[in-house]
Amino acid sequence: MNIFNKTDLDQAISPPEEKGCEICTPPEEIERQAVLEILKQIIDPELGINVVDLGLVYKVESFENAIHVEMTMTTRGCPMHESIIGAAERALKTYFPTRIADVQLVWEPSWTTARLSPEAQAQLGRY
Amino acid sequence: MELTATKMAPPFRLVAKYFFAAGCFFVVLCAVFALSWQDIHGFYFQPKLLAITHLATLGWITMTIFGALFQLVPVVLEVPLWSARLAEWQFWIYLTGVLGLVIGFWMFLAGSHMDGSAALILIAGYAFIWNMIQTMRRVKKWDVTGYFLAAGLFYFFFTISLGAMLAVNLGHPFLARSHLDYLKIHAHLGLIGWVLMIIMGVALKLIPMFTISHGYSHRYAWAAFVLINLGLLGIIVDNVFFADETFAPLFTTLLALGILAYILQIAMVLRRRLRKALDVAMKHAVLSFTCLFLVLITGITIAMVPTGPEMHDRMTLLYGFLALFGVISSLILGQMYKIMPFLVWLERYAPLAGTTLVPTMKDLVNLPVARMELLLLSLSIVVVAAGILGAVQPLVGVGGFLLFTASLLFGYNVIYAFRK
Repeated sequence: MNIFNKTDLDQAISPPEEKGCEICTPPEEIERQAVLEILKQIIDPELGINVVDLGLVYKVESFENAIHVEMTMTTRGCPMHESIIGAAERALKTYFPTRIADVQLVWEPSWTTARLSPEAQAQLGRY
Repeated sequence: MELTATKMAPPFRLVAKYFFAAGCFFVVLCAVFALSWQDIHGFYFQPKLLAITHLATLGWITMTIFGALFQLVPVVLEVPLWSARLAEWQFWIYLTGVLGLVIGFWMFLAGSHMDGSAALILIAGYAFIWNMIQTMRRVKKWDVTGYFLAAGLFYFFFTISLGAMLAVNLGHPFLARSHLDYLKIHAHLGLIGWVLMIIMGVALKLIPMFTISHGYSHRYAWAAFVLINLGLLGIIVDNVFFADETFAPLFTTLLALGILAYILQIAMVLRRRLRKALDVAMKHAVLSFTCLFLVLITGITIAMVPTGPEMHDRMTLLYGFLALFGVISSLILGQMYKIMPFLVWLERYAPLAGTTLVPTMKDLVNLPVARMELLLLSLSIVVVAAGILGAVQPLVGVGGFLLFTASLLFGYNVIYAFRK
């Protein structure tokens, strides 16, 4: 079973005119949002929260033949990091089969709890 | 791309083998404990109690530590394991040695049987230490966990060396002083130096990782490290050079302060955690640290409060029981609910993540069964402790039965995770 809802993703990467957007969003921003939507499907298996809401995605760059992502983990030396990086690469490759999915793990700057989205904070029981 | 820790970790089958064997030893240990309830009293130096103690320390606890360190050292210290092949050989040599030694104690087969078993454990233990030294030599960034692990290995070397000497001494007495004097040093080295150092170090890494705790200092952990080592080394030197244990109160106090500092560190970590709800693994950790506090009180009482010989024996037995089952086993059982699903997830589901829906790690644990196990374990600790302290043997029997039931539930969850 494919985990991705193609309709949602199509909407995310569709040109602004189709969505009736009056302000012209740059195409790279649209694609950045699409990449983030895809990465939202990657769930940290220990916490059960997606990597975007956890604030693990530091950078998304989209090129003609490649997508470059920089990610971190909540704790340095997290045993899940290879799996999560691999899952992100496979997910991007599924949606952008003609491009290179390059997901890099970075430890600087260190992840802090300030990077959590309100949804993730709620899930973790802060509120 | 940066070389990642899981690429460095040993094969799944190797680590799983250690954990599976440890789980089996735990079930057997609890069964033997429950069946021997009438023998769990009085002076600790008797064949069945020695067999049970070594079944716990070597079969269950040390086997788990081996598996955990093979898996976690590459992750925690970010270095690859030096030799998976040596770890494979070590497993079979160690397993044979432990089975031989435990049977040897139970039937009191002093002589060549005990000597041979001790030699196998010594070979396997040295192989482990060598593998870890070679692995840890490559560590670039030492943190407090690294120091706890290195100290644990240091004490492990002396624990098994002295243990082998004691095993040989049973059949061919050659030690200058009383066997029991050395046994005391062996027990301190093993329980505090090896086991406590390792589980404290590993917990300092895993508990913040699982609870998402950030923004605290490690000052209490460092204080704990220094105080526990000073206290332990002091107790050993005191035992070796001063037969009357002149400085025992001083070093026991240092040790107690170190353990207290560690409890404060864990309390600080838990206070700063973002993940507020304590899951079943963390509840085991809370049980463990509560028992650690009780062990502390029991230890201080033994060392500093004069009691009659009978009460002294009861307190010593209580101390050993609380340390082995309350502190160490509780913490290990809890962490196994994290480590086992992690191993299975990594082997089966990690390659599929990103392309299809995969279970989360908590889906790989049967939570109602795990909660029931925790309840029975907690009850059994209270009941057995009351039985030992009050010298009421039937209570030890009931507690032993509860403990055995808890071990079966844990065993069920091991199989559940591996079959998922």
